[in-house]
Amino acid sequence: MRVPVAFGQYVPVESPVHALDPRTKMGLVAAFTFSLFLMHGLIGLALAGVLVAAVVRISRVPWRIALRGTKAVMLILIITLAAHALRWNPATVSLVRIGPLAVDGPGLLTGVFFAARIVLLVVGTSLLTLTTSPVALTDGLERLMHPLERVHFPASEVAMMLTIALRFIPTTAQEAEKILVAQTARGARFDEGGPIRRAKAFGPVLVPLFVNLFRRADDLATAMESRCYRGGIGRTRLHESVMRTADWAVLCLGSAALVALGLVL
Amino acid sequence: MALVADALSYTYGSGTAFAASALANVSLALAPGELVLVVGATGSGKSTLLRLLSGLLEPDAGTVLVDGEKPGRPGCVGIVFQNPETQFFAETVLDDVLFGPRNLRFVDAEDAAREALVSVGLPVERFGDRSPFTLSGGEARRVAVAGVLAMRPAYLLLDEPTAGLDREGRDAVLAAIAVARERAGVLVVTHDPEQFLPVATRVLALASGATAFDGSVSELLEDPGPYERAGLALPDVIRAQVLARARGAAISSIALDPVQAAATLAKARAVLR
Repeated sequence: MRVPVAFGQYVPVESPVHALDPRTKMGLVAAFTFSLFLMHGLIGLALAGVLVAAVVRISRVPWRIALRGTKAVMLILIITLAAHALRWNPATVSLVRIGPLAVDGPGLLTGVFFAARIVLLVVGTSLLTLTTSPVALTDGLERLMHPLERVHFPASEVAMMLTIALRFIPTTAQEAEKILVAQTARGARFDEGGPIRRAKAFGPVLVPLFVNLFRRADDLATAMESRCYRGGIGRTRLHESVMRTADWAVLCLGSAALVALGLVL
Repeated sequence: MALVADALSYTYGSGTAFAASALANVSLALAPGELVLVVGATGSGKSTLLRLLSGLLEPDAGTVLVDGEKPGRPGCVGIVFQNPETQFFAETVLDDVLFGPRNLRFVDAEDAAREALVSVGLPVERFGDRSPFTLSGGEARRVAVAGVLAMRPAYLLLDEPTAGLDREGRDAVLAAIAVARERAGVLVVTHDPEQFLPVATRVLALASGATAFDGSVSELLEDPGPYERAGLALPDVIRAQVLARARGAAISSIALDPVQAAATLAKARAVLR
């Protein structure tokens, strides 16, 4: 029995994509997203697809893992395709017709366009978390938020919260799995009955899970305080991440190329 | 009538780049009334073995038979995981213990829960209405054991049942196990065999997922070599006698009880002089 962890978990391999500064990758992902929404034709999306495929290849992330995120949006993809392609009793010529239900050619193309955009968005953005460790990611976020500290925004504290939250996702999943197995061993069934009964069956899992989470949060806060954690003021880093020339070059050229691609295609 | 595991093997993440063999070709048998001790270092496959025996995991190779049938009959094999008190969810002790018997649709679920609580030394009148989150460590562990005993399992599997308990809590859990053994076969996984060796019928030592020693307690005491070569340490009280015997002391039978062990060693010392 496995508790699924959200898609986009870090894949620890060495690659040029992994070596990029997290800020570069965040900037590129933002530009890629912007570009995808600027595009208005399938040719543009096809080029974006080739680009994503190339990045997956260079990053050495297995295809199975890179595409895993699309499973979560499968229902949205089906609804998108169906909403655009299916027509009820149309007067015009259709590609396929089964009784009153028909598949409309131009509608199908529009559906494919929007579905492809969603797939590219999911795969492209998950590449950020697949190639960046949670610690590096929050470190990058903290540095991006750093200027906001001038207006008293608690950037370090927010970054620490994010680091801790990300750090405890697998732990919480493991704990949930442990409790699920233990309650199953006591005769609990989570796959019987209707939706309400199934939801109720998870009470014996969720209650201890949350009790343990609060207990752990309390212990962690005490442990951090006992190790003199007083927020971000005056904190230094063991590993200072620096934007190298290559990072700037990839960020500037990549973002410009992506936006241009979006505007032209 | 027995819980029989034959040549069990299991690999986590089988078929992926992260595959890790946890157990290879391990066999054991547990009959009602027996207490089998499973020892081994962290990562030696003890917990995996428990999950395979209870039917929560399917072996990659080998078979598990519970009274001649495949495991899976609800309640037949009870399992108490490490730190089971972290799995409490009900508002009262009695409700939490009732969870299993109610799931199994016992007609006398409340009687089963009450009996189980009494068998672990926690009378319902005093503890039934208490919140399980306010119990001491020893009490909480006993409630967790009662939660499984209430399902009246024919075989009881316990993963580190005394870990982290003080002496009082440990003694109470040991007493509860002794009661459970009267009507069930008990298998205990532990890092601390000293407290279980005097009552164990058999010892299975695992090292890196394989059997390092499998035999009775007397066989272990006769020849502890394979056990120690697997990186496992005998309790000090036993090791002292084994070492004394190796140096020529005439120790015919090794005592497991510290008081008897002291007498044996004193006698051996006098003879050696």
